[in-house]
Amino acid sequence: MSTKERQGLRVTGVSKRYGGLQVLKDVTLRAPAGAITAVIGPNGAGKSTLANVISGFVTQDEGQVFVNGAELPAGKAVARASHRLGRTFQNLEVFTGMSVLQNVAMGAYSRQKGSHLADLIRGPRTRRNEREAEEKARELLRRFDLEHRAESLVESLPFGEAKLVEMVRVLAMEPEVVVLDEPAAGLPPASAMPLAETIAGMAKNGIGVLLIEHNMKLVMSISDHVVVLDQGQVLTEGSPAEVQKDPRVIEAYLGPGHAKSEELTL
Amino acid sequence: MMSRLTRSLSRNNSWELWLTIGLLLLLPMLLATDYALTIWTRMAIYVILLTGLNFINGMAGMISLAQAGFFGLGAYAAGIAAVRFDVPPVLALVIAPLVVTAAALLVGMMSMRLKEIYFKMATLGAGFVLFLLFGRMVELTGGPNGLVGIPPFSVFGFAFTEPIVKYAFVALLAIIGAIVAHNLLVSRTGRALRAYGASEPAALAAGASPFKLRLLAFGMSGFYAGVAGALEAFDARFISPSTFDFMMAVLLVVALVLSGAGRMIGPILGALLLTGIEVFAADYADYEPLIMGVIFLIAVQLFPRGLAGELAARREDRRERAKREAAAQTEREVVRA
Repeated sequence: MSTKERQGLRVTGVSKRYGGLQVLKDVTLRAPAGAITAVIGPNGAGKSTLANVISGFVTQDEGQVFVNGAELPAGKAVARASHRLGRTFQNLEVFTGMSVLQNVAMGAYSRQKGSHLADLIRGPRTRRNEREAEEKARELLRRFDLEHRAESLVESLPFGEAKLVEMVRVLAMEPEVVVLDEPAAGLPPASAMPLAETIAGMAKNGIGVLLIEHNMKLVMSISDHVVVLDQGQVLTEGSPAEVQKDPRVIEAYLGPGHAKSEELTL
Repeated sequence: MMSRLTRSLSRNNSWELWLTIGLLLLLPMLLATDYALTIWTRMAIYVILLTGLNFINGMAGMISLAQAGFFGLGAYAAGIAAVRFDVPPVLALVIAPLVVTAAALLVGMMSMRLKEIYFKMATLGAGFVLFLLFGRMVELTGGPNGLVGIPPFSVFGFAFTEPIVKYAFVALLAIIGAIVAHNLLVSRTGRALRAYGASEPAALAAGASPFKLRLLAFGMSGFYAGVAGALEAFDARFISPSTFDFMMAVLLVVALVLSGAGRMIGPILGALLLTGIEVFAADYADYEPLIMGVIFLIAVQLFPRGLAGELAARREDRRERAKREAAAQTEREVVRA
């Protein structure tokens, strides 16, 4: 990967229609490596559908998704990991019944080699793979101060920590691009700061972060670039400061009539 | 150090495997009369059968009702091979699992894309079709009257007729089966299977292909059912369709759920439960379904997490309570200081 240029995520001309409803219309955006690109927009703007198209859970009608220049097959979620695209979910998706360590190790699934049948015998190769997976998972847990939780069942964790486990699990895949679908949803305000640090840390490590988020404070404080979706289309984009002052954005959020007097501080 | 680490990724499963092996070795020592040994042998056959079911109903988190049918297919495949085609029992014990694995893969491919309730119905249907075939293909199976004249298991002319020899052989296979199942459970394959049961979208996003994994689970369950079926045929030396009917299909699922689906300890506890019920219900044969139904209802109410799950949860609760008390204690001390 080092010889290849890290371009991050590129989405070109993506459209999606459900019956008579055009959910996404010709959406083009980039989430370059090492930066945080936020996608904001009012409810129903198509943010979640966009996240699902990018991560292969929804098949787009038109358009392409690329990671580091390679086109991802439309609607194939399972193929995303091998292209090093990871995602988190709006509603917490962790592997209940499994320990925190196992949850994180599962994130590295696509990086582990070996056949399923070989796992039945548990030969030296399988053991070595498992050891490596465990060491990597522990290393990640250490980095995020979760090591003391390694053996706990993931469902026994407080919500905020479980959310963090979900993110650490995605990092275990060694992703090039990460799509974060409303990471702050359901978190108390006090957890916003550590979350912001975690996300900023991802970008610092060269990951292209696409942050889909409602929490404007979080978006404005950490994003390098903000894309505003409205009714399935890119309304405008720019730096957080630019977007915040854009009258069209304020109108899209608050309705007409507010545009002149206010700045978006939701 | 390393071995400690590997154990913790496989969280708590090792002792369950050791307990399974220990019980299989020790139980017959408690009571080793010929009659008791035939019962222990039946239990060990159930261990194999339930270990197989545990791949689907436990690890993969799907409820398959086809296992009784697969069990029967294994028994008939081995029995028919031995009785009608004079195949040596050793070879029949190899053929039966392969036949059932093929059938299980076929059923798996057709059913596993279906959603929960439809999946249950499809697997129930598959089991029922097999049950009907056992009864109808009279030329091969002997029909409702059963297949008679199955020889005892033998290797190079040495017949396994002594109860202790029979038990040792079945228990050995059950132990090997448990070890293999444990290997799978603690590997990345087992993790992915369980992950699918817990969160399908997150497992997909991690790059695990559900089709391949679940097909593997189906194949494994079929293989184990084939081995168990063949052993049943050579043990009982007579098989009839009624052994593999709807009642059996439900019982297997219930026994596994009650004792802890998805856990290594589930199959042996379930096998003990099944054998116990069989032994005690034998005196009240007419009321068997009623007794089962009542036991099932009560148990599901009392232990919704299964026996092993319940015990584990209690342990966890105790640990949590201890932690909370320790925290409160520290707090009191801090306040006092």
